[in-house]
Amino acid sequence: MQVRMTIRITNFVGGKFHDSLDGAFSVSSPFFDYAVDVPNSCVLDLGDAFSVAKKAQVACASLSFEARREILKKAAERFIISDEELAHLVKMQGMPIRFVKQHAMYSRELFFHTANAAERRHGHALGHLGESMDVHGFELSLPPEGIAVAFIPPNDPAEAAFVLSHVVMSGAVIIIKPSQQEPYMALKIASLLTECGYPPGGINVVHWNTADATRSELTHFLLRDSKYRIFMGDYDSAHTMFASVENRNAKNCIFSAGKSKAIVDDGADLERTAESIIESSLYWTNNCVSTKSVIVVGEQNAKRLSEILERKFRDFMVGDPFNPDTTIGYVDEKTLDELEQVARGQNDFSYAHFHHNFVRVNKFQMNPLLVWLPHPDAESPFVSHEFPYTLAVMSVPTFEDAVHFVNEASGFLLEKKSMAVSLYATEASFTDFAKSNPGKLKSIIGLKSHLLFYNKPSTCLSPHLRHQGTDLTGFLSRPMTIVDSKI
Amino acid sequence: MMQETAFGELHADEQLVHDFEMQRARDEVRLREILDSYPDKNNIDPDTLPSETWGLLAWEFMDLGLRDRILAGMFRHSLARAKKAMPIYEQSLAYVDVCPELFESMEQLVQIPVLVKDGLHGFRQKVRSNPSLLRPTDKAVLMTPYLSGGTGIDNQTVGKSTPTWISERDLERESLALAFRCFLPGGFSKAMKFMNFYNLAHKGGEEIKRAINHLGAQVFLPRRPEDSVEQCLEYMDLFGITALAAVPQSPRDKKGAPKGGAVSFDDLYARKAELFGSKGTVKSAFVTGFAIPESVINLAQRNSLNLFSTWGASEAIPGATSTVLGPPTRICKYNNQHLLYFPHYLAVMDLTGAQPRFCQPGEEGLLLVTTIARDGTLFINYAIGDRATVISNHCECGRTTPVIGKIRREDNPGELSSGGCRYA
Repeated sequence: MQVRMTIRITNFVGGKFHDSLDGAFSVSSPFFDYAVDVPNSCVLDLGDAFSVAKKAQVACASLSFEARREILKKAAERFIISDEELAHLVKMQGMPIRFVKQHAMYSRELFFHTANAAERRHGHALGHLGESMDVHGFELSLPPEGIAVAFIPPNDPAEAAFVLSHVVMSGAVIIIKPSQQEPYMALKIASLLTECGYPPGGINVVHWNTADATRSELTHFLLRDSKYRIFMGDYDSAHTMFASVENRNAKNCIFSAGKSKAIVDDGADLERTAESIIESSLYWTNNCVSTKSVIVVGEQNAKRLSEILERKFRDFMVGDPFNPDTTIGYVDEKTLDELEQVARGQNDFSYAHFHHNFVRVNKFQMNPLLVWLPHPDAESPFVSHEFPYTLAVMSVPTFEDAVHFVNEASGFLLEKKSMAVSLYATEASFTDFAKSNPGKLKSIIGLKSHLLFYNKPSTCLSPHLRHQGTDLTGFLSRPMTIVDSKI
Repeated sequence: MMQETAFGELHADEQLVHDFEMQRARDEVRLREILDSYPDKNNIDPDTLPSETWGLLAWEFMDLGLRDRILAGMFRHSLARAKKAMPIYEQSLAYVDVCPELFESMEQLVQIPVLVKDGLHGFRQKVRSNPSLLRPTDKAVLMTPYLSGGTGIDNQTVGKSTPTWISERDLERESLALAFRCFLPGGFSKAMKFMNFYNLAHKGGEEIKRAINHLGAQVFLPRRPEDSVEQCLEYMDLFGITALAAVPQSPRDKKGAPKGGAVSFDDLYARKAELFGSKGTVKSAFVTGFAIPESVINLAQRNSLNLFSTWGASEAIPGATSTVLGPPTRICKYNNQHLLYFPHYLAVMDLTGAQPRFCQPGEEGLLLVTTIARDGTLFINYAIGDRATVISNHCECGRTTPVIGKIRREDNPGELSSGGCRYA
């Protein structure tokens, strides 16, 4: 008996599922014999989306704080992910099913978390029309006036929930263009939140084929007529996109944490640090938001940390992404080819040392790669690129050198800052660290980063991480959110 | 048919249907009166007919045989005049053996040389050096040389427009046909407030303006060349525009941005969709081009927007039209258009064989334009450069002219410049 497919990709405009006015295109999995039809929207579809979004603004902004929180709560209660949906995500993303499931379920946690975080920071004042959810750090600051647009990458099932839970709490309206490689989760979350009470038209999802030359104007159109432009994912793509469409009225927000760095201070618990770094860098998705390079104070510490990491790397399991024990997902061939080329080239020139050779297990998979860079180098492809399942470790003589290197290698975001830096040190809390190390605090004040994670990894949206920030702007000279697991 | 007594209580759409049916009934009476005023209705000199004749809806619903005889009779006069007064035919060797007096049915058009613009026997180069070749010598009236679109197929044709000479009376003839035989069945009404996005310096733009005037609309708002999309939308709002005429899409540059300052239906809808259809004030749209894009058709269906199109070119307006009014089962919707006869005659012909022949339903061929009534340039069997498919000879709307569709530009220069007999 043929199994009936329930995954159907449509646009979601004005609270209704719509096919595009101008047909569909097929998107194939790079890894499996699997494809889905996706609407190939035209400018008229975008016109509809803008029209309903404009109309929904007052209704969305007028929702009380309680009503917004109730919507997220209801969404969390109703959120389920079926086996078919999981299978779809695995096939499109190549991510191991255990992580797909975990990240998909983060959506539910994010609905709770965002509402709670908003209440902690703003209380019920957030309900007033005209106020935005203005939070430093990686939480979104969304104005309730004007239309926001967001471009969502394919490699994390939770990102749509991350953006849209903020949209709900801000009473904003948004048009989302999901990646065509995984167009489903944004649609699912958008329809769920609307079903749970967010006004129809407040959240809209449109798809089109970005490789279709006849659709080249759509991105331009979306970026030109919006007030808030969110790009999740690869920085270079975001920069090219935003730079191509001038819109002085718009605020740009790029979430690009794929080149994040860790600083390991002298005296850090290396065993625990290694676990955290691995959680940040390898338990994430196959090629995105994670720690990619680790700067260790002291050569001995660096070597010791490398040995621990190397040992832990052996626990990773390559295999069928549908196997629940698999921890290394599929990576598209092109990316693997590029990495192989760089890795082998670096070997030839003895520029980097590998704890083990680059091993391509099959067409789509590799063993995790630990790279030792004898000299910190911001130009090294292992620092400047976002290679999957690859971690570069290097040492510097002093903490100040580490901060200096991070700043040197972090000038890629719009404000020439890193998205996030993880700091691993001895003290129990950041406050203690700051009090005990005034010299290092001085260096941190000069750290060019939007976020500083202290003794806990990553920008991972794990519900186990308490990523509410302590705003130390009075303590530091520049706005930076310190995310301290001990607070 | 609706009763006049119910006039004031009719729903808006019912009102349109009512107006159309009333007009059609009046036109049948009027056409009979006009034809009866001639001793032989099969031998009418079209030059002698009042302009209103060309705007009569009754032509489309007439018995086929009767209409063919009337058309052939008129065409005999036009053909004779063309041979005598149009330099391009007068000087043509291919026309030496053409005998207008033997012409009795439009089916005999297959025996008349095909006029082509390009290729070995094309007139483009000659006309570009001597535009008077296309101007009749027997009319001492002011004529405007309206230039063709210049949408060619290679660097020998693109941008190298040729003129169609048009008198004031010609504009009147064509705009009446456009008003009552295209716009009225397309759902345009007297009550409408209309905005025109076509260039008034083009023949089509000028005739749209006149046609809207013939319909007696409340507002005719032209888009000035300097008006941006945003300004146009502001004016549409300000004047409460209920109907518009626009191209479907603006031509784009390589980056996808509009070029040439055109404002299209897409541009307008994309920025303010709420103005259109069931939720907005704009209820009707006249969108022309080779074909209305599927996206615009889908949008019209989704949003209850009255949408129709008319085939026309500077050489002949109107040639065919789709409808909004009529039974739901009719096929003359959107890109399926009924051929309109008088003041022009469009035919879809297959020129690939030894002899030209009229295409049958399901067959694709070249569109040939023949002028029935005009002071200015008389085109006869002119392969204008478009292809079309005959969809059907029957339609539930009651019109007795063929329905054509899939109109597109011919992109094979050989196809246009070869095959069949031709101008030489």
